Amino acid sequence: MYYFNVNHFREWRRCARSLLQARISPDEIEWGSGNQHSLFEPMADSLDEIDSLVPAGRKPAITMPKAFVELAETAACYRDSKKWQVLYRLAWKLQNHSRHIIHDLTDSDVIVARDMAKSVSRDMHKMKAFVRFNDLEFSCLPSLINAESVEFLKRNISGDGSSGESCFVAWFEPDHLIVEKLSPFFAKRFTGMHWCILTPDQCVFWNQAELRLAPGCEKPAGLADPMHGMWKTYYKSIYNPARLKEQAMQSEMPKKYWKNLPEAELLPELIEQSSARTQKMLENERTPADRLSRKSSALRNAQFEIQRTLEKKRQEVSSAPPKN
Amino acid sequence: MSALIKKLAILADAAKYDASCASSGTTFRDSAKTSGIGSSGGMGICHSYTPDGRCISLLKVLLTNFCIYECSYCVNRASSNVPRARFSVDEVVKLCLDFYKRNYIEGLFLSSGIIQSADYTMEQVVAVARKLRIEHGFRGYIHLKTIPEASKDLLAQAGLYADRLSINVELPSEESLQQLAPEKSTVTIESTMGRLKEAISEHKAEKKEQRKKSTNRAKRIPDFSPAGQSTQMIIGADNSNDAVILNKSHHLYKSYEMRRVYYSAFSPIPDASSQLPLKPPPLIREHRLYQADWLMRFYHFKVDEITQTTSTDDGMLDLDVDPKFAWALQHREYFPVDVNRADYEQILRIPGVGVRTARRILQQRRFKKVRIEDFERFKIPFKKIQFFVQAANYTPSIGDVSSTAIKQRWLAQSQGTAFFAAAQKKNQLSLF
Ligand code: SF4
Repeated sequence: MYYFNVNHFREWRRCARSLLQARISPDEIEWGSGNQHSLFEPMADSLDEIDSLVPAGRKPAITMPKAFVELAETAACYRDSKKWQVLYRLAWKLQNHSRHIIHDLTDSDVIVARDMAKSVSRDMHKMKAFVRFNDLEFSCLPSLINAESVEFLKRNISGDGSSGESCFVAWFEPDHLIVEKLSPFFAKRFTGMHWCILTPDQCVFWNQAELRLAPGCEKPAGLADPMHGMWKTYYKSIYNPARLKEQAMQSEMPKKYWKNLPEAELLPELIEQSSARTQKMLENERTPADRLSRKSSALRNAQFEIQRTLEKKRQEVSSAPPKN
Repeated sequence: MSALIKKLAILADAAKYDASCASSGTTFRDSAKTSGIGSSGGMGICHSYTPDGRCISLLKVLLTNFCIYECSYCVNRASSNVPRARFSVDEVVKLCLDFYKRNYIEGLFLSSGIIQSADYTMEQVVAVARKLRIEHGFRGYIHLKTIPEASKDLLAQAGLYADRLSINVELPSEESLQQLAPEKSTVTIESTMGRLKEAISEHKAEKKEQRKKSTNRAKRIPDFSPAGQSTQMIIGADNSNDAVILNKSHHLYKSYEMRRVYYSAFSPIPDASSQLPLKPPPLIREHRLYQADWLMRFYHFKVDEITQTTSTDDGMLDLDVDPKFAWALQHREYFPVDVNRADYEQILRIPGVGVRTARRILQQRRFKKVRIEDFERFKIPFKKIQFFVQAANYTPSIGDVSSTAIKQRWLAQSQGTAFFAAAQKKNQLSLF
């Protein structure tokens, strides 16, 4: 039995390649994640051992279909470490049985891997949507993040960080391990800002030139932003109480996200008032289609008439033979 | 700040009856190697959801809700007794950037009541977009509502800054328009749509041409409203039936290459005109229209096939069942469809089977015959397909159950909360 402790797709791929070359079957391997190195033999040693099983010149080439690599890269972000076993079994089948199996939607490993990838993709989509940046002054940063990260962020600002430059800070709690995979998206979108996204698993920092990843942290206290009031006003005003559909809202924005969304605290109040507000609108006195409408349409008609005459004149001019 | 908050409350409230929130399908861009912000392309992102189940993707506001027009269904019509406000160009620009930087939105959907003249108003709308793009290097999404009476020149400018332009047709017939929106006319609206269509396809064609020759020149040709144009129809304010509405949509898709026709059931507003019917239409009607629209665009249904499925001849869609199911009930001769033999188009006609499931069926067929249990994995209830599908281990007994009985049975078992909750849960993009 071999034990492998891997924490990243890159590591898994490195292991899987050696294992497939040495034809070590999925049943002989146990996969884990996390900081359990000390309990087992170090990974590098066992990999060397495996690599030595097959002489260098006799190692078979391992190639995987593109569809598998893409699926595996996404599924590798799944939180549960059972993913490594599923992916290795799949890779084993692709290498030793059929390359088409990746398209067989009834294969149990394909089903599980696709479900994991789907869950990860959804989580990534929600993170792109629900991260909320707070505009903070640099001077607030030392109480939120470690000195090294503050230094990194300060690298690209004009001053020394004491004169009101701002850094945008977000706290998010993703379901899966997606921070690294998503960080280029945020860097390309919020290029002209200094920002960081803090999560329990991993944090990412951007100083307008470079991305930096760091270990996760706890939720910082005191994240606030002067725009919260504007945003909540907008949220309240764009909502139409006559169309209350709580279920539809919750299926797209499940409760677990609410605690980090400033607008979510308005929900109970908005929902509760919906029917009374609608009723009131229905009962309001109705304005007669009055003089104003007649006046306004008379005005418009007059204007149309003028435009039409102008247009006609213009055409006459342009269609007239050139004077010469 | 507090004055600005008040304005925002008024001008967002005034904008909420426009159903469009799409921010997808434009060109791929990002801010890498620039000092600006913003990216777009691919699937749009919904940054929040309000309790009506609608998403917030764009900052949707009016530049002003003062309006000299008198469209009866509109909360901003000249005679409406609502508080009025007007943003300056700079205020909207700043608000949009401030929201964007906090990741609240994908961009801006700007529209406006008409003040002074169509051109004056349109100029202001274009000025906001120009500022965002040119002065601030904003690369997020911009949707501009276009005023049909505005000059060609302004339209041409708008297209250079916007990802999408839209002109609302408002009502499906000229008579309704004259009655409820006397200042508007189908001719003006549609001729502007025609002009937009031309500009959009010309730019596209030119880009393609240049790309064939050399990549560098192609890059220099500006995009013109790369996410196309869309429009909106108000439902239930006039007495047009669903057949009239869907025929109009069909015409709009065909003649002007609309990306989307939005349907907006007219909604109670604080100060309604006596010209409007007392009661708003049921929201389920709007939902059925979206489903029918979907069938025309992605399921190759002809407009007549959909509108002729009504059991009564009032030209209204059946509110009890979705239009595809209604069609199947009236065309029993077409079924059962053998999912192991039929082609893609035929499979798409099976009630409950969407585009994705149809593709999965084809994919699975290459390896294993599709069995009736597989539909459980596709998350389609047996009750729905029972009489319409033939699978490897399943042949329905046809003929002995009437369509009315099938419908009754389906309604009985899906009655009540479960069905309606599910119908409500599905958003407008994942029908069937
Ligand atoms: S033109 Fe008509 S629909 Fe548009 S804001 Fe004015 S009244 Fe409303």
